[in-house]
Amino acid sequence: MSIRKSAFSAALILVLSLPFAVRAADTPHWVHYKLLNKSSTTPKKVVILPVSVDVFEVTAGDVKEKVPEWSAEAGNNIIRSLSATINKEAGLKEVKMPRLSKNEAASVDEHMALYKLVVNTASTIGWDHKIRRFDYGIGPGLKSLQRKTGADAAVMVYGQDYASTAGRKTKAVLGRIPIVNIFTGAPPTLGHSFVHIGVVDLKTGDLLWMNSEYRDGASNLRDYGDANDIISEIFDWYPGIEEYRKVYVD
Amino acid sequence: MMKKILTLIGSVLLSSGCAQTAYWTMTDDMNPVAKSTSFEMTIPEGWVRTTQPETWERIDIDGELQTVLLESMAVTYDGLGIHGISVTRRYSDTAFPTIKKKSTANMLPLEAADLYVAELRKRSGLERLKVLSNKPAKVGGKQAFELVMQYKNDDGLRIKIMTYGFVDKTGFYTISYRAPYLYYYDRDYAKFKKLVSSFRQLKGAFDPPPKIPAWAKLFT
Amino acid sequence: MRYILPVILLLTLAGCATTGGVTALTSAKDTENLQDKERRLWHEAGGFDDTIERSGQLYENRSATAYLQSVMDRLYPEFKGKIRIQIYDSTQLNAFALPNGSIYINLGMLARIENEAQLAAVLGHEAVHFVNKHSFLQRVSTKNMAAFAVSGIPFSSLAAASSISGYSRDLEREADAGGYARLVKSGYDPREAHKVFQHLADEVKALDIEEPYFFSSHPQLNDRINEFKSMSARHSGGGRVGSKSYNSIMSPLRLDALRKDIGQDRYRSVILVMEDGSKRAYYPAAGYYYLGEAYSRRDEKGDDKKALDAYRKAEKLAPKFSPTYMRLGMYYMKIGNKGKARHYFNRYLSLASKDANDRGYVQQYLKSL
Repeated sequence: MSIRKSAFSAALILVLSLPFAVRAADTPHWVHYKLLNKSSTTPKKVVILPVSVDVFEVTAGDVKEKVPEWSAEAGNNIIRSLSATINKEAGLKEVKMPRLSKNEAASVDEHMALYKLVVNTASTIGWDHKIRRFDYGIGPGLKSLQRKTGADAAVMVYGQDYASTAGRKTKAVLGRIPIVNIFTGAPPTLGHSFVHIGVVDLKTGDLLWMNSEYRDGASNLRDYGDANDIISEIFDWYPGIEEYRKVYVD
Repeated sequence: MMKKILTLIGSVLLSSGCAQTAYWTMTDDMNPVAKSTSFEMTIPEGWVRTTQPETWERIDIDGELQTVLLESMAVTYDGLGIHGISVTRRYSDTAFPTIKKKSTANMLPLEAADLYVAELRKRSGLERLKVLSNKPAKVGGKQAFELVMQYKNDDGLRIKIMTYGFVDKTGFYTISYRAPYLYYYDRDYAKFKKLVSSFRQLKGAFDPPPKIPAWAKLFT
Repeated sequence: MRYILPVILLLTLAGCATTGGVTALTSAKDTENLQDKERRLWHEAGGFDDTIERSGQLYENRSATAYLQSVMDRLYPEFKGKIRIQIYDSTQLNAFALPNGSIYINLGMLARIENEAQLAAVLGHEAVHFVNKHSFLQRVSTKNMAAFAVSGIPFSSLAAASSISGYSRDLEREADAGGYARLVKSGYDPREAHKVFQHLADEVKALDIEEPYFFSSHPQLNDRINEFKSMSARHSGGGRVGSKSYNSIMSPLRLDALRKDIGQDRYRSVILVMEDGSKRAYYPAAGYYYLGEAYSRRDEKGDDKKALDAYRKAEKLAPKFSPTYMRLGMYYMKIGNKGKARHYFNRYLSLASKDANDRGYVQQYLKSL
């Protein structure tokens, strides 16, 4: 990428992220209006749905390759950390995910797909009225899971981790050296980690709470410490009802 | 260079639209009717709609980006990323631009429906778009089609689309509702039907079509 | 130079086809011993399989799929259970093999192929990509996978590189040669092989497109046709063609392919097959209805008459095919011949299923007449 092009791209990204940057600086999490007006209560028992975490290795040439073992490792770290965090959290208890029939599993999968669609919009919408009255949800289609587990809510997680190869890291270093970078090209962006967590009321499908964490560079979900750090950071804002009310409602 | 500056300016304008409501208008009991040049309809309370209609779009026709005139308004409650209603008028000459077909005043709704589905499939690359039903209907007193379609996205989420469409000498009109089959489609179905029944064509529909704005030609 | 020949000989004598240090698979068992990077590719391919299935991109037809699998198992018995065939729901002429042994053949390709020997030529070719690990080789060497974006196959760098001509010239030649060898070994008539590429060439000509750019770095279609012809000329002749077995299963799929072609505005493909006597012979008579639709869609000078003629042929040769009557009814309605319009619309209603999509329209038209 030429310097002019990368400067333009950087300017574009900055401009487009401005409205969201303002939002993120206040509180990073979202709280459903029913928790704010107390027509819903925070859940007591939660079940963690199958976690969707993909880890990619990115080469110097920008080729992204999903690494199955790394993805499994990162997923396990997230689940372990999540379990530990939930059970530490006052008033919250984890209920184990039961075995599901083929149809139940298909329904959970489709609800997970709906969840991803909803949170991608919900977390970037920027409309004042939706922030003040956050009312997103995925509908009551997972009620059977509530009956089966006795849980009030489901914790839904998805994440991605991009790990740079040694070649890419080298290119990143060399790309910052004047004159050398004429030959190597502009430095590529290094890896990053992203985890999103949401708590969904199993009876109504209301997205009661959600938060996410994005980390640049050195973070690595395959490292339990890093994964735990991210999960802790995310849950630091749980449920954060009054904080949310103070900033966005009152 | 000019193109990039304009893109950046456009992005600033759009961002400000994202942060405020310059691009979007909230509907309440004081402003329930959304009006465009050719049509108007009543929007459900609490939904947002585009403040002004889009008057042109850039589409890929046989590998070349072309600017096509239209008149289109979008309506949504939760955001277009999840669901939405779009009301569009296309001019006769570019009624089905990707398949390069025109609409004619005496075109039957069934014929328009067939072309519309082919246009959708080609434009979106969604060969797997299924037609669940295709029935005659009436919109604004005119003979129309009612299409119900469905496809699954890459995550396996079923997306359902209901489209009403009619043709007259002023062009091809569609009122389309797209939402995930799970929860959203049924939730807002009645509101969509109410919007459709409120649709009215306006006298402005019979005005000569506008020209592509000079600044938009910079993108050609 | 004098050292090169012995080295080549040594490698050949070793009995394994190695390319760039990657060893080809010899049986299903070999798939249990993959390198780390190969396993990653397999996993990615598995994810791709899941995406295709859950997003509804498969063409579901159990008997056709079972038949295709039986042909593949005949060609590659040592890989039974590892190479899995599915039908991809696209009317474009293509097939692709993923690194994990999943092979997809497009509905459009199946509709155009005329017999089991031609099918075996396609499957044999695709399986070589899997056996010789071409996806892995190409992945390692390709810098810009996005260059392979094509339609008619699901867009992804992995699939695009796996398509029937998505590989480099050398790898495609290897697949042609390997597939041909399997064809002969399995007892198929090799003189059918070049016809598959002839179908592709006809399609390219009919659609008036430049040979798709993914052909541009590969042996051109005509080169491949000639190559297969000269290979089969060296063959003594004979072999299984399997026309009856193939067509008894594929005939209904062909009608579906025509319907989907019209639904995607691929009317030129429909005209290509239905106006070519040798191709049309493989399609059910109801295909004339779709020919009528194609001419209506093309809408060039004289096409309205051609469309009407095609509908009339469909009426005569496929009298139970209800959509024909709806179109004829619409034609007569538009020219003001109410009597004939009513006749055809009533015929449609008597034949069409109760939940046929167009019933409502026909009932409305009858009321208006």
